[in-house]
Parts: sequence; structure tokens; C-alpha cells
Amino acid sequence: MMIIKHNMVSSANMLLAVVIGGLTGFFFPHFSSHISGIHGVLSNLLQMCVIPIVVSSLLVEIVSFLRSAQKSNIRKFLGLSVSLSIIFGVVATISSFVFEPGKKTTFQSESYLNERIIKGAVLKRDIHEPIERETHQNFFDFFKEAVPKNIFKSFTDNKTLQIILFTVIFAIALASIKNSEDMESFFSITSEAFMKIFSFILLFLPVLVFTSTALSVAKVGLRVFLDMGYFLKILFGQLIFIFCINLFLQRKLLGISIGSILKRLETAMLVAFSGSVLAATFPALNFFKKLGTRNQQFMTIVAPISMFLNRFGSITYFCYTCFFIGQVYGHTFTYEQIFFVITLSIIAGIASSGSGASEGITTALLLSILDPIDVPAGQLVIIIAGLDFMIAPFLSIITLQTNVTLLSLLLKDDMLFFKRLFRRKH
Amino acid sequence: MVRSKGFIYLKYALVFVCCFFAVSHGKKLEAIQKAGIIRVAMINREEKPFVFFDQKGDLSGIDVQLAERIAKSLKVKLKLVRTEKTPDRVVGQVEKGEADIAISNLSITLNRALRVSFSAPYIKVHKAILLNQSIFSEYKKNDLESLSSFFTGKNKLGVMRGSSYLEFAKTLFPNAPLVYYDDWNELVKDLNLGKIAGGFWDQFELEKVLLLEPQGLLKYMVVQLRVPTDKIAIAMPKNDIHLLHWINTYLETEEETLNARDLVVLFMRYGKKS
Repeated sequence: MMIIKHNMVSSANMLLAVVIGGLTGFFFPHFSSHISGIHGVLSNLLQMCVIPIVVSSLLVEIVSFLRSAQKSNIRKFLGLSVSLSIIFGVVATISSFVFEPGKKTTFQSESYLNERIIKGAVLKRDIHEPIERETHQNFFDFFKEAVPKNIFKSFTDNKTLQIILFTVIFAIALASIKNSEDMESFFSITSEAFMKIFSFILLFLPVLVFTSTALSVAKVGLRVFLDMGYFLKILFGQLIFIFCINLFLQRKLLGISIGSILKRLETAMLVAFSGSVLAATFPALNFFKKLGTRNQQFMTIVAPISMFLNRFGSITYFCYTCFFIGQVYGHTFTYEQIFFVITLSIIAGIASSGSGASEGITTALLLSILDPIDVPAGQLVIIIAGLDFMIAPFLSIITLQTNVTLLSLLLKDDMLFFKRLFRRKH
Repeated sequence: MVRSKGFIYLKYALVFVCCFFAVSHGKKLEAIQKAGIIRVAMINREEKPFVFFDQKGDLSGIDVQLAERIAKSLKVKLKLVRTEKTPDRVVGQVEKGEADIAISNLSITLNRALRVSFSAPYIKVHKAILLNQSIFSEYKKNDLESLSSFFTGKNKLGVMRGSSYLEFAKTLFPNAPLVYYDDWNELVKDLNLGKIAGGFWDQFELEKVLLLEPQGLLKYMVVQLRVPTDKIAIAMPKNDIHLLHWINTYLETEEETLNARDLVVLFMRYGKKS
């Protein structure tokens, strides 16, 4: 499962694509209607490969894994996932209370966002109808829907979590059957074939980055920074901080220079930036393969599941945004409420994984967290949901990078690494 | 036989009376043309974008321009009668014959329709409720709170005195304790202080609050009611069939019916100019 790297897919080209895309979206917003078709084709092609690769590679590796006996790592993986999620929630909480973005944000009445938001701000109700009925959708529905009723429908509707759950169950069943080599071989070849298609599509990654940037800027514009500037500044500050910490940990864990990590993870990060964390799994696995790490089989199983469920970027975002909204409305959080927001942000992060960066899911999830603690979310949620597709690519990079750190930690036989790390400092 | 004859006479008498009324009450339009002037009653306060003074100090706005166009179509001069400060009193001016017609953001209501005739609407807006989000979160009794259950007991609903919304409020929210205001800004101030739980007016006026109040978009919720829309029309003396037909024909052939979105756009445009 090797990914061929093309010369076109370089950071310089990508940066150029982002700059040209941003300028195109800003100065020629009407041009976006022409490029949306190209964006759709490339984005669909990328998405097309993800599910077949995940299913086939997961199946092959789980069957093989179950026949061997190295299950102890699973507990370590779960422990690390939970610990890192809590750390991310706490970091977002601390920065929210230290910088207080909600108290320092003012909304200009002449903001160009007003007209757009005002449409969403007016609720339409009968006199006897509940006023707040839209808040009833929440993330618990997500967990209820995780188990598929009809697996063929899950495949056609692209329900990733349902597909992964089915794949794991199917792989366990397949492992218990003798003489299933033909089936395993079929999935192995399928995986390799889709990987080749995937490598070919990566050739067009700069175009995809250009179109997605141009479309984002054309939709929201750049003036949004006037109103939400401080909110975004603190958010991106946190993301940069997390990015640097991750690089530092990866350098210590893998024993290679930061430059080398950035260079080797370049493709994975660019795929994540252009919209799919799950698709970035394969270049990330390639990164570990090139490093010659042990437990490759375990990595192949855990990496897609981790990338899908451990949405560290989204956890930070939900947690930080909830406190921001509370501060704007002058809400004072109790310790119980802070704990509640952190816990529900972790769950909401997982819940957001199957839905991508749609405005609807962010709105529903934020309301699900804020409603039980009586914080009036109102139109601010709509404003934030409108920024979603601008922030989502950066959240994807953080999710990818933290998952790489998590996988690097898994490679270590024990936690002596941390003891050594701090001993050196002293 | 005698009874049937009497019945025929009665029928003729009725036809005669109808013809008499049709002819006599069609005279208003002729009288306006003969006098060469049309007196249009309009509220004596600024209501953007309906009536207001522009940068040059001239009277402008949707209602003023509509009155000017009607006068131009009738080839008569326009005289604006701006002496009253509430819509109900403006309707009274037409009723008393102090003005020929009234164009003043007047909603059609059943009570007013007993006093004057209304044309077809030239504006249609939804009735809406303004809620302060924090006050609503504090005052609501449960998560399934509806508007009808919310405006009961201590939760008071603010309405403008002398406006059509007073009548609408009594019909739509019969159990709501109503508080009357002469000034909309006072109502919004009381809403922020929690003295009232909501304000009732048309969607356009409430969207204006979202736009104009500091942090309006964050503070307030506008709930548009799924009930028949508020129809804004021209008031004229009752029984004058010819004038009514002419005004309706004029509105149908020459004017577009506006909605809340159009009003917001016009409001922003006029607001920037002045």
C-alpha cells in the first residue's frame, strides 16, 4: 500500500493554490459558480476511494490481527484517546477563560453578515407550537444511528461510522471461518487497486485546494474577520500551539527532526486540509511505513478508526466556542457546567466525525451542549456555523497531527518515554 | 295578487336606492378631479421608510411617493394632511371627511373596516413577536413553551397604543396581560429590563430592532407567526365604490406589493442616505 508522491504536491504549490484561491474568491466571487463543478468532481473522486480503502484494508488487517495475538495495545489506544481528548478540552477551557474572547468581541450593526444572519434569525411558528423545537436534535441521535439497519443503505448514504462498525463485525466473523483466504485475498487486491486510484487523484490536489479556498472566501468573504477577529485569533493561536506541541512530541518519540516530520507528513496534511481526515490516514500510514516502525499491522487497524473517532480539532473547537458564546451573553459558568461542557464537547467531537463540516451539524451540536446549561445560543451559533468551512480544514490538520502523535505514542512499548523526557529537562 | 304587486314595487324601490347610492357615492372621485387636489392623511411623525424627511429636508418615503404617484395619475395636486399622531386617528380623519384618503402604513382590521373602506393591500408583512433571549430563557416555564402558553400570568406582552396590533393581540393572545406603549423604544427598553416578556408588531419593525439595537442580532429572537399576514392598505370613505375601484385598479396595474424583505432593503437604503 504505497502512495506515489508527485512533484506537484508540494507545500509551495499548495501555498500558491491557497493564495490564488483566496484572491479569486475575494475579487471574483461570481467566478466561484464556474469552479464549483471542478471542485465537486475532484472532491467526489477523493471521497470515492476512501470507503473502499478503509473497508478492504480494515478487513484484511483485523482478520490477520485476530489470528495473531497482540490485543494488549487496544487498551493502551483507548486510554491514550480518552486522555488526549480530556487534555484538548482542558486546553480550550483554559484559553477561553484566560483570553475571554466573548467579552472582548463587539458586533458592528453595519456588518455585512447581518442580512445573511437575519434570514436565519427569524423563527416561523404557530402560536401553539414549541418555540425552541429546533434544539431537540442532538448528538445522542448520532449514537443511536451508529448501528446500521441496512448495510447497503449505509454504503449508498456514505454513513462512515455504520460502515466501520459493520466492517469490524464482519472481520471478526471472517476471522473465525477457516479457509477464508480467497476472501481475504480479494479484499487485499481491492485495497491495492483503490490505493493506485487514490495516488492518481492526489496529482490534482493543488487544484482541489485552489477551488475549495476560492469557494470558501467567495461564500463568506474576508470582512468576517472584522466582527469575529478576536474569536478567530485566539482559536488559531490555540491551534498553532497544539501543532507545535505535537511536532515537539513527535520529534522526541520518533527521533527525527521537525523538518523531516513536516516533509514526510506533507501529503497527509494537504489531504486533510482539502477536506478529508479519513483520506489522510493512508499517507499518514505511509509515513510510519517509511520510518520502518514495528506493529505495522496494528497501525493499519487503529489508524483509520482513530482518525475517524478522535476528532481532537473538533473537541477544541466545540469547547472553546461554547465558552465564547457563554461569555458573549454574560453567562457565568459554574465548575459543574465547565465539566459538563468539556465532557459534551468530547462526545460532540466524535459525533461530528460522520457529518463533515456542514452548518447544520455544528449548529445542532453546539445547541445540544448549550441548551442543558441554559445558555441562549441564538443567532451567534448561526454566525459561527457560517464560519465552519473556513475553520474546518485547520481543525482537520490538528486532528491528523494529534492522531499521528497518538500513534507514535502507541509505538512505544511503555510510558517510560515521558519519564525520560522530563528527566532530560532537569 | 296585491302582495305580489307590492313585492314588485319593493324590488323597484331597492334597485332605485342602489342606483342612487352608486351614483351619489361615486362622486368623491369626480369631486377630487373637479377640485384639482387630493387630500391625503398621513401620520405626523417620522416612520422610516414610510414617511420621513430626507437630507434636503423634503418629505419622502414609500407612503409619500405612493401618494404623489396617485395624485399624478389623477392629474391633481397633492395635499398631505399630517396632523394626527396615531394610525387610528388618521383613519378617523378619513371617516370625518377631513381627508379624501389615508396612506399611512395602515393595517386592515375588522374594527377599522367598520369605519372606512380599504383598498387591496400594497404591503404584506408577517405578524411577529420580539423576545429577549436571556429574558425568555429565564421566564420560560419548560422546553416546550409555545407563544400562547408563554404569554400568560406574569409574562406580559407589549403593544403599541392606537395601532392595529392592539386588536390583533386581543384576538391572537386572549389570555395575555397587555402593556400599552406610545413609544416603541420604551417597549424595547422595558423588554431588556424584563418588565415585559415580549413585544408584538410586524416582522419588518422587529427586524429593524435586530439591525439597529446594539448587539441586536445576539440579544433578540424574532418569532414570525403562522397566521394571516398583516395587510397594509389605503383607507378611504366607506361606500365610495368608484374611488375604491379606481384605487384598486391603480394598485393592481401600477404598483408592486411589497413584503418585509423589500422594506428592510428600502430602510437600509434610506437610512444610509440620511
